[in-house]
Amino acid sequence: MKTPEYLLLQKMLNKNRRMYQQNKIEFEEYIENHSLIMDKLNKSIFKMETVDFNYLVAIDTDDCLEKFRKGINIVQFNLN
Amino acid sequence: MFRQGNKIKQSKSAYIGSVLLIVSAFLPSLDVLSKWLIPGMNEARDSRGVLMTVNIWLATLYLSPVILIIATYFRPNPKLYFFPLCMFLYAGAVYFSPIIGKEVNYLQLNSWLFFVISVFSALCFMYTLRYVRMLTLVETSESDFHEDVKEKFDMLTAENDRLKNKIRSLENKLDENS
Repeated sequence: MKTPEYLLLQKMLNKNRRMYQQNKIEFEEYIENHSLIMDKLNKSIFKMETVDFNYLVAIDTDDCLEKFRKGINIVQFNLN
Repeated sequence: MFRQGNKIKQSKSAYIGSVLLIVSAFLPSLDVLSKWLIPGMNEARDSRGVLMTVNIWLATLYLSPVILIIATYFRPNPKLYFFPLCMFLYAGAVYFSPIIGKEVNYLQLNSWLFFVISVFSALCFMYTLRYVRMLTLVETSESDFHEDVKEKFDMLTAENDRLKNKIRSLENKLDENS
């Protein structure tokens, strides 16, 4: 059973890597984002607020860098 | 309505799948239900002398996994896998209860402890699976990350060597000129 939060973090990890491979973000930012997401993933309890959850779902198909950075911010700070 | 993957799932197929999952979970209880609802079912036998309830129980037991497999194709709510898991654990525990020397009957009050243990075991099973999935993701993403870091470091080392060679060649040129 995969929780929605788990799937979102998985998506953010993939997106982070893809952004780096497309040279949209620098290596430092890639490392920073990766460690942040892994940190959240290692905490087994991770619940998103609905608004932020919907935001992160929406950026799935969007490769805009600003939206991705906002998504990373959401992952970083929105921990209930 | 529930979340499946990253999307909010509200389709007919998901509902059908969820219903099928619950049906597959409770189908092997049909013989007990028939005992409760149909008078005289306890004693009814078929032409071979086998109890009708046993026939029903065996038939539903074989049918239930088929329905379960069909349900998976409808992409049901994954949380509902709890029900078949729990009921099958419970049925298995009750069936093998004579080993511990106690008389325990299916869906009777004397099997409440077995039921509690089954619920607990099913929950443990699901949480363990969730944890294993998380571990797998962590391992996969870490290995991907290590690959990327190695690639970057190789690139930086190559660039460093190239720059060193350039400096060396410039120094040689300067020496020649002087």
